[in-house]
Amino acid sequence: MMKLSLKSKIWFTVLSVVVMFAFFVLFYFPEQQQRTLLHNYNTEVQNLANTVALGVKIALTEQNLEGVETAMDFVRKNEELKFVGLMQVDSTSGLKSIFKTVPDDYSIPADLLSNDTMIVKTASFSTPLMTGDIVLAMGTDAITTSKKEIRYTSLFVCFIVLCVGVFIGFLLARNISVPVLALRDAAIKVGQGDRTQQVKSGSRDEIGELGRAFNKMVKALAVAESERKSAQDQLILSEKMASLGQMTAGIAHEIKNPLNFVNNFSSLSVDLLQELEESNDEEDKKDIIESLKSNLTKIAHHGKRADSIVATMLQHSRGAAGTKVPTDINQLCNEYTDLAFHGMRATTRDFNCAIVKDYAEGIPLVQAIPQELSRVILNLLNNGFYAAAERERKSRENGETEYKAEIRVTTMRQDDNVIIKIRDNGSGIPKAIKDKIFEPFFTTKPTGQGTGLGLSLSYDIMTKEHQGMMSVDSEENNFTEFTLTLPL
Amino acid sequence: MATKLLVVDDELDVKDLFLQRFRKEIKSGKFSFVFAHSGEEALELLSHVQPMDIVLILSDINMPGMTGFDLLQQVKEKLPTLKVFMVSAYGDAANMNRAKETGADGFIEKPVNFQLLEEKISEALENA
Repeated sequence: MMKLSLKSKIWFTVLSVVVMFAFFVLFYFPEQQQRTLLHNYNTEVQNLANTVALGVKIALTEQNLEGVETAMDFVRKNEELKFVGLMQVDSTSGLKSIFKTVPDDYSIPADLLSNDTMIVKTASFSTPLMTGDIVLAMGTDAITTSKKEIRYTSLFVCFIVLCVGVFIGFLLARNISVPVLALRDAAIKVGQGDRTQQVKSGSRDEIGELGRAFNKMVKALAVAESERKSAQDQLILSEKMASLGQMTAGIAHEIKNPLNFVNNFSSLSVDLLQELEESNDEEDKKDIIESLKSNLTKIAHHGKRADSIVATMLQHSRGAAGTKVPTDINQLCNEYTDLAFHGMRATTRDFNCAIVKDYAEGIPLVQAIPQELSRVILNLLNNGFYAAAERERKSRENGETEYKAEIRVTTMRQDDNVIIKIRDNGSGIPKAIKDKIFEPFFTTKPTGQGTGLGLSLSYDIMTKEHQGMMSVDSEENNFTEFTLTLPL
Repeated sequence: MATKLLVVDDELDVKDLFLQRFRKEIKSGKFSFVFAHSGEEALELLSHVQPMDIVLILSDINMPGMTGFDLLQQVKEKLPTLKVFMVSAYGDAANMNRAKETGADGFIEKPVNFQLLEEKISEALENA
């Protein structure tokens, strides 16, 4: 179907009304008028003929020939008169002969009938003296004139109607089309995310109401959106906090280890210094100094290690969006795999899981937001541990002891992408829910244990913030493998 | 003859820590140490040391792969006379009980108090 704009529809409607009206005024109306005029004129002429015939009849009955003339003169003054004739009809033969005409001696053709220029009417009379017809012929000039006048009037009316039509069309277009188009443009912009759009809504008609309703809706939408946004921010924050909580135990362990080394090596160094002071053997002194050097290096190393863990934790809890920096994917994976592992060990004591790290060498640095990417890795590892623990629990319930939980973290380069695969040999994802796992608030964990936002946020982090991909492959009671793709 | 101990920990610097901390004892021939960085490595090592002169294992619990408990269990099955001390940062009741149940001869909390460790070692070896 042809696509018509509202404006063209309005114009089309108005113009078709105007055209129909014009057709009526120009053709039907004059025709009708003319027919009425003609009909009336016919009747008038007939009446005149009848009147003359009556006058002639009276005059003949009185045998007053002057009266006959007077009767016929009755129409002489009529401007339209062509002629009037008194035809005598022979009673025996029925033949007609002209007895008298006005104007005088007008020759009347025998087969005279009405035509375009004149109307011919006959009225019979009968007297003992004479039987005959009065034939009256009147011109139609007046009718022709009035016909023309009607034409002109019609044309004029048509012109006026056309003007009025154009004016109405213009008004309608302005009052309907313009605000509707403004509404359309505003709605398109609102659809594109601009929540500040408002339309003019001065008129009191339905379109004005529509405009006001639209404005109200956009305002409500903006409010709802900002509420949703803040609710979402809250949820994201709580998800961050949740993962931070999971991390805390791991971090405590991770931080305690280097700190222990710092403490141990420094106290050892104090002992070594004491020994150095007391020693007389040069060889021994050399050894002690070597040990001291190495200890100080170790203290520095473990101090830095603790520092970087704290930095990681801070980075992780920071709410603001980070910026992309060249990131060593292997190092990041390694750091967070250890954190996740210790976190898991600290929270689920009777469960252990083998970690297989399969990192490709020579992977170039990737532009990534480390704190965001690490959240994804941490989240996937935690899920993996959870799934492996679930499967272990199930197999133990079934009396099987052979199951060995294993998580494999693989990095590799594939064309222009860096791929991170996190695979667990846990309970797997049932086919029925595979499509839903990236949906917000979808969780299989018992209430209170998962926000259902982990994978959804991870998905957003991968696709929106890193222009990468995130996909899953799984087989129930066999494995689950998440693949993260980061463009180089 | 020096008392030979096997220290199992995934942290590499534990080796230096022990070597320095017990350097006098090592020098004097009281102790000698061997190190393994995982449970698997420890088992491997134990199966190759001939004659079996290691008398005590100090094993971390939380290690990737084979845990200290797994190692403890296997050691107790294969070499029941070998003493095993568990070492862990998580010195909670659950861990301690599990160590005891699995047959550990001692439980050392991290950070290691070496004075206490030495006493415990002597105590355990005297009882043997």
